[in-house]
Amino acid sequence: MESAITQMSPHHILQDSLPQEGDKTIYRKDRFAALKHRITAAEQGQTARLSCDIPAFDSALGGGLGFGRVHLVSHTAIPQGKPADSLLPSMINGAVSGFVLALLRKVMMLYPDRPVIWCAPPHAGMTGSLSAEGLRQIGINPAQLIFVHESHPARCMSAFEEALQTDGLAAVVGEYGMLSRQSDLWQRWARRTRRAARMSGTIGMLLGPPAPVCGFETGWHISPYAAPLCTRTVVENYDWRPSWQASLHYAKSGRPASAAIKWDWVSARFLPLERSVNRLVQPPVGQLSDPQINSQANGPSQQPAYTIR
Amino acid sequence: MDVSLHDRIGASSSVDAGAKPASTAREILCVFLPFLPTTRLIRQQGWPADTPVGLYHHTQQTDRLLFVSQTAQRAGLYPGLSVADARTYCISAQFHAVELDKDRACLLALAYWCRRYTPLVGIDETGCGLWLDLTGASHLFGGYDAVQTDIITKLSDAGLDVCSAIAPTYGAAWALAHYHDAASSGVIAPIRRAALSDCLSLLPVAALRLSAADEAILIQTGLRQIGDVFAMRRAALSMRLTADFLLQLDQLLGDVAEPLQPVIERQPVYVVQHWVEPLAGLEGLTQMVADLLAELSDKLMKKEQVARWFEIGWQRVDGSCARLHYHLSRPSNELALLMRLCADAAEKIDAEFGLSCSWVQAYGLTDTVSVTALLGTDTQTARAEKADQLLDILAAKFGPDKVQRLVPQDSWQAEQREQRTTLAQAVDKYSPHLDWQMPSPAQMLAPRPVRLLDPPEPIQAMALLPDNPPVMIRWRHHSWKVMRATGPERIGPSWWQIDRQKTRSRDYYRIETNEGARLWIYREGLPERGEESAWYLHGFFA
Repeated sequence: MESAITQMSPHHILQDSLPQEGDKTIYRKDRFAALKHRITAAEQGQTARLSCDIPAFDSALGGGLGFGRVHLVSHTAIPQGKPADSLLPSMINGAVSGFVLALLRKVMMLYPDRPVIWCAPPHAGMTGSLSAEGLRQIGINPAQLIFVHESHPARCMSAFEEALQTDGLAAVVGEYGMLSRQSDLWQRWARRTRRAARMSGTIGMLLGPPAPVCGFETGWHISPYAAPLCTRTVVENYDWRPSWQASLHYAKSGRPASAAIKWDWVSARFLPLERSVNRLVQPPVGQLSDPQINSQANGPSQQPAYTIR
Repeated sequence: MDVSLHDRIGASSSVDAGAKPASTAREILCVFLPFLPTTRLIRQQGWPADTPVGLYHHTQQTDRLLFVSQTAQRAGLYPGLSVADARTYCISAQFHAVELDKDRACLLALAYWCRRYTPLVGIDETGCGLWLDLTGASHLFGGYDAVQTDIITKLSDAGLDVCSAIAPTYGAAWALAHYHDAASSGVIAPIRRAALSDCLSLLPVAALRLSAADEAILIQTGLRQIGDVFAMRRAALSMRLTADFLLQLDQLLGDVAEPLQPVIERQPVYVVQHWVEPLAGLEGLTQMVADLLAELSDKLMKKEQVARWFEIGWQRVDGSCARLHYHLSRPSNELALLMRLCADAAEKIDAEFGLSCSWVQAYGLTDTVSVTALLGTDTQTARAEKADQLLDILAAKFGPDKVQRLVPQDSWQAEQREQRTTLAQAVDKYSPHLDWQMPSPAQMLAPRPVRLLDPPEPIQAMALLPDNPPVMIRWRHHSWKVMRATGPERIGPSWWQIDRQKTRSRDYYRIETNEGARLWIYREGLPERGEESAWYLHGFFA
């Protein structure tokens, strides 16, 4: 976030720091007014929030995700009965990454000229590595992302902390992997990253398996939205827009919430998703078959013009 | 070598041609390296020396050649030719985008090397060449002809094609080096004005370093050689041509002095500390680095200079030395930044039995006063500076190869559409305007996964018919039922690649499993062609 001082021009800062001629009381009054202005601006900066577009989340978070804070996004825990070596984390990691990227897209709309630092191991193994084509389809310019590939998880998080200290970035994302299993180290990292984010005002997002959320601003559990059963396997008009079951299970100054949501690329907004809705879509007569095209044609703020049956 | 111009320029100049220049005359040596960019690229890529190479730049929506190698020139390629045409002229030629900044850096390095002959050395900003002002310095090496011989020999030994000339003016030296037939073995121009004008008169008008418009006018009017221009009245020339042309003409014969800008290398700023007792231990080394950097920063601030490269060096008690190097994208002298940049230096120092001496040195110095300082620094620039500084710190801390960005590639294959390149040597470390086009709504019809597996993982798939999408997949001993599938989307191999036989066409499917995970799988090999097919998992959708 912009601090109060950086928002002011150098001329104003210089003028504030110089003693003015004339009555001492007036001078003091001006100084107090300037200080008050700075404090107000700084407070506004600290409390600026990123709306999630979903009323349930926004009200639970008091307006949205806070800047200058670290948010923990993880996939849901492996359910009871599943083997420990389940490939479920790998399978749904795309969904978790997609949710973080959608949030990033919203941040990058606010700061289109700032880079994003993504700290991750170089070879993500079975979880795969981020693809530029996929980023573009979320709406993110891949050139805006700078990757720090460090194989050691502790060093990877060190890069995350270093980046988070820096003002001038849109956001910083870190993949922590199995680091969260070492509880003492994890708690120390939580404290350090929280302090770093507050210093710079940059939003931080951590991405990985379920981890203790204490010390972070919010904790999210993301899983892909499982659509209702369908009689046909091959479906041509299926809505492949990303959709998730998002659960805000921890909010430091809020309350938990949960919702099924989907991402609309054209308007760069999260949209609520009804559980009962079958997402098999049929394009209306005379319109293009792609719901993205239809939604663009109807304006970004409107729902896509397709029939739900 | 020592080409006698008397044969060429006739009896009028024979008196002066071999004579030593008078003490008042300047001795400008111009070195022209016509194939430097192509030679540099050939060496960089490790290609055979006789590879035909063309370097192109994108202009007017076409890739046009800017430099060609000697072999390519013999094959009929020339600057200005479009790359598409050039490919038909010479099939075996290699084409590459021109890297002007790297060529300039190479020239600059050569210019610093040439400072052994004279302190006044510069680079030709309009082409690939150097100039040396040998006035008052050539006698130290046995005369200007000996200097020329030495430079040509040494550069030729290094594998460069060299053309050079010595003349009393820079314009004349440039013209002779670029357009004289005997320039490859060195040309020495006469001093006297009349002889010099005779010597230059046979050269084409392009040797006057004209603008394209002036050159076109001269050729249209039938003035093809410099001698034709000398014969014209000045008033007639001034009516048709620009003032720059007349200035170049005057500078050619030395009637008007031509200012030349030599390259200046600043002496590095350094701080040295000798230790009476051997210094060891992390705490002591950390304090040592902090003290050295503080002193260096103080020195730089007093000199009003900023530096781009820093070296922390040390000598152990056994006499062995080692160094650490740090690089900044934007030069600076701020102590806080230097401390962050060199934060891990103490951990990297292997003191063994202790250090006897340590030093820190700053290179790449420039004055503090920059354009931004004069015009004011806006908030956006200040933020960009901070982002650049962070990338430097990350590169110094984790290694320059660890900081990367995605660069687009021209390919249909999903795994070849992007490349991760390091930011260490990139001039523009962060460029949001890199050549990434956002997808059109039509392109959104074929969604792509956010995560790709590299290489794709083999899976087992069960399909009702050979060309149907699977109804069940098995990956690493786990099975999933396919709830929905869309496809196929066929992506074929690049037919123009030599090793295309190794890759087969792929039919991609987007599937959704019973747990909601969305996957991108493909079948390699086409059943309708009777090919043996295999299934692979390639990526995960958001």
